[in-house]
Amino acid sequence: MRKSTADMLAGAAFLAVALAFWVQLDAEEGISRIFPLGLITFITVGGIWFIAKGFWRRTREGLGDANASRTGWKRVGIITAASVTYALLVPTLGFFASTGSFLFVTLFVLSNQELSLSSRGLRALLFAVLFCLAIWAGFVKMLNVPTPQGLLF
Amino acid sequence: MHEFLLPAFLNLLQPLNIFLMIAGLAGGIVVGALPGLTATMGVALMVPVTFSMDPMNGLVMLGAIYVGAIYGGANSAILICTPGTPSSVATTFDGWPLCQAGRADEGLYTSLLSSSFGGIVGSFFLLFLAAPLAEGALNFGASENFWLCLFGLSTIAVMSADNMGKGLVSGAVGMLVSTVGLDPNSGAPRFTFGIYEMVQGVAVIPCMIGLFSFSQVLFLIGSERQHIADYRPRKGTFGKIFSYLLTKCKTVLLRSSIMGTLIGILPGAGGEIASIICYNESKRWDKDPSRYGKGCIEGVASSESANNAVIGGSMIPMLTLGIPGSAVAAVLMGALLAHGLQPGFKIFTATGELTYTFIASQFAVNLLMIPVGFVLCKCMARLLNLELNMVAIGIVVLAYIGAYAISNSMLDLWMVVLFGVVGFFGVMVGWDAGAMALGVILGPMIEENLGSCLQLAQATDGGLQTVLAGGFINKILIGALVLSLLTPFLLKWKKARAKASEDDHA
Repeated sequence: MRKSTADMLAGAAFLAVALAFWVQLDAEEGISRIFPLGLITFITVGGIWFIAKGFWRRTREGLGDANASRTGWKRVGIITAASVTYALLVPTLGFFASTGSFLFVTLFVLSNQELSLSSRGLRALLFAVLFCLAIWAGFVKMLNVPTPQGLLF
Repeated sequence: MHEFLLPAFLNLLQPLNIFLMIAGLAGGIVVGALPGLTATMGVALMVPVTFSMDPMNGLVMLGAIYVGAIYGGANSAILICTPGTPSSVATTFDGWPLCQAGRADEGLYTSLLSSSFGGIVGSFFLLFLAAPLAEGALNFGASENFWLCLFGLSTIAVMSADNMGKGLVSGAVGMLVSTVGLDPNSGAPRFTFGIYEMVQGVAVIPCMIGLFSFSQVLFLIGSERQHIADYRPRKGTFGKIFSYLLTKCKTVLLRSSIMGTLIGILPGAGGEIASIICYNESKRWDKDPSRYGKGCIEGVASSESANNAVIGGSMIPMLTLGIPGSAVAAVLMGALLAHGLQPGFKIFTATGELTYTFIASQFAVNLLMIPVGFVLCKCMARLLNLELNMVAIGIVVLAYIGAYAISNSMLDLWMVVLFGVVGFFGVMVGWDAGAMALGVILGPMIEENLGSCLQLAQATDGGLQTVLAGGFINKILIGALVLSLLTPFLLKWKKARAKASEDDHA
């Protein structure tokens, strides 16, 4: 990503955060308002500054100034979507049913595509079962850590 | 005091006490290494178990769990960039780059030896300087705490020296996030965005897990590597790190340990604040601060020695005044009371042998931690040989369990995802996750103390200025704050002058 783009996006994100809190600020009064108002003002000024800095930088930097690091966006998208679905399923399926499903599906999808379907499936299944057992034994039985409850288990 | 010291050290030689110290340490290290399971949780879980024990045995074991858990957090901070406890947030800054560079063993041994050193310094203060230091901490009121927190926040200026602006605004975003929930001054709910559960606010641990752990999962998965790091343990690393710490890091270790102890004495300022402040102080005073954040041994040493030194510090006001310096110290105080020990002056006289055995056990536990931690960290390092996909997916599950365990709330799972995504995209555009974390931690303290000062100002002649700027401690802290903010400029100026002088000679 070019530095100017990063500055502009950072500035826009700062402004978005400030706006989200500013919309809710009207309900506050007195001492509850002072601290957040000061922060929102500071973040807004910062956001505007970085957007302006991004535009200024854009006029001076060359096309070759982009950061060359590569990101596997497809894999990032898969793990994010799987994690969100996992969190959605926990209250319905129960912690261990949803954890097992999450571990199996995600590892199956992300595994090396050169492996055969059956070996990918077997690895994912083995991993899901063993990991769930380890969590149940370690967290639930030994440490008495509560796990979310759901319809199944 | 002297009449109790010999019996106290002799008590420690009892086989049962030695066993309990080793067991407590091992249990504490495992609990600390698991994200979401805090030292407070580990000690609290074991308090009821000690009721059936002799008070001396019970307290010795609880102290060992506390020490083990605070150190244990470093293992996951270094190996999977997930701070096992909030105290090890700053350890990720250099521990994780060390791991990525295939030098995880160096990071693990540095954290082990530094934690032990910090713990011993903290115990030394606990043993010899408890009474005078506790009196000094009593002089810290709302305004002093306000300036202390601002000083802690000002370290962002050093933390984000390459882009101070983004660091400062990121810190402000963290503080704004911390205002969600009940207002500490009026008790009214704020910024709940129409979600009732948000009244409970944004819990620090799910937020940290999201910022440092979930976001790293996204980076790891996006990197398309096969393993987290190319880890090849080398023979002689332990000795090499030991001699490096002894020769090149002694100032860093001593400064961080003393500062950690002093911060630990202050109620509310725990290991997370101490480790971040000490990390930044080490960076500030280093000849080449640019090494930090890239796998610098001194970075891990300062953070880890500070958070373990906090233990001794937090016990000083707990034992002498009955004011716990941290959440774990509060749980320990509950255990002391349950065992019939009343904090105060008499604790050092009427029940002197028991109290000094407990204090002496802190020295022993910090020494025993070296062999126990050595064995355990070797086992944990094997994580790095697992397939990256498995580790990353496993971290998501551990992150969810850890976040949920804090307050049994599903909202905390969503916080992990939200802050994970914010951390991932934020870091890509230059937001500073460390500064944001510092803002989330210090925000409530700053607001609460500012509110108290504002209310106090209404009843004081001279108003807010007198409240905030009056008093010797306030003046010292304001001076330190100004100096802290100016440091990056001073260092830049010094560097430019040195370069100019080199050019002149050439």
